[in-house]
Amino acid sequence: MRVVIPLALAVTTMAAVSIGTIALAEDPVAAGALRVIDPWARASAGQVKVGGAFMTIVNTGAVDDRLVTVATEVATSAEVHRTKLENGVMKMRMLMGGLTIPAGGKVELKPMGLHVMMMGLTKKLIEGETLSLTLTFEKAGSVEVPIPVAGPGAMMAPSMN
Amino acid sequence: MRKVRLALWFLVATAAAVLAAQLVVRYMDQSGAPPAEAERERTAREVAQEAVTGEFSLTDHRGNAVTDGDFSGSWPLIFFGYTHCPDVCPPTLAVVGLVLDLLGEDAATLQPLFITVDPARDTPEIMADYVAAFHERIIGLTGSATQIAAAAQSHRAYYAKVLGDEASMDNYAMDHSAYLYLMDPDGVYAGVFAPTDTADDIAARIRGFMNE
Repeated sequence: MRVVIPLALAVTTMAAVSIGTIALAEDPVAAGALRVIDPWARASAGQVKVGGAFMTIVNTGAVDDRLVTVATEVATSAEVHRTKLENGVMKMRMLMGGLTIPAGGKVELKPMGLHVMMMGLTKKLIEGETLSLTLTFEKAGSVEVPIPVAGPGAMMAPSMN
Repeated sequence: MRKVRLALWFLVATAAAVLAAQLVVRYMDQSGAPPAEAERERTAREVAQEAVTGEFSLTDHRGNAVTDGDFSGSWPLIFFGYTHCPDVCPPTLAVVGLVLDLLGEDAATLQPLFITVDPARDTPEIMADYVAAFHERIIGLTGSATQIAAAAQSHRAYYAKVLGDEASMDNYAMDHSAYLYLMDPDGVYAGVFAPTDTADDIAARIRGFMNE
């Protein structure tokens, strides 16, 4: 077991080195070897009880990890969904079996691709406010991510506008 | 009696075979056979003008019964979607809002119409609050399942309910055509835009159609 600590230190150092090469708008939220960059959500349009959240998850580690569950205090449930445009038809499906974040790679949750779908909103999402999402990864564990709310039809994070 | 019964069955079988053969021929005419010379010479726009007739009879977000005829004299910009759509519909509505702003005075004759493919959840009241979040000029339209099906059919738009785990825990999702259709003031199909087109492109092309 003594090996674990130096190994963890080595991984953390490698992580710190590789993350240093990526230009970041704000300090990313860290969970183990994972970094959550530029998270944002869309403001609610009217009374609709669903909402979408987006972010980039970077894996600075040497092993794959997997996003297994998503939860938030502002909705009764949350899932990762994939949107696809096929022959002019928009299709949205729940992502089964979690979302793999490859070692040394990244996964972007962005419009027309992947998003966190928040369902049964208990509170209207208002532009300029911040909500909180709890992401639980197989290896990195749980991390709470503050999510700034952009406009109802936004295509990117407010910080990137 | 037995012979008569047999003869009758023979007749039924023959009729069924002839009918089946006719159906096969008709099907091949539609899909497999090469189009006639005249057909080939027609432009894609003419073909679309025949296919996309654009009729509808629906309820607007204020609760008024409306038909496509009520919008003659304006340029309806029509798209199908639903309010429980977290990814694609909101930016499409936002782009339409931008197009209205970019067109300035020319936007006066443009009438964006957002038709739901999920009338079970999208009541006029829900539609009113939803479209208002994007632009005051957008009109939300809903109706009975039959009315929505007819409106989609007249635009050759596709939609389907996706149930169960595959869709989500949130009961169901809707697959739907994501195009924006532009009709002219006579109610004739003018053009179509993709959900990935930018507001600048769409505004410029709408201006082009208006100045034709």
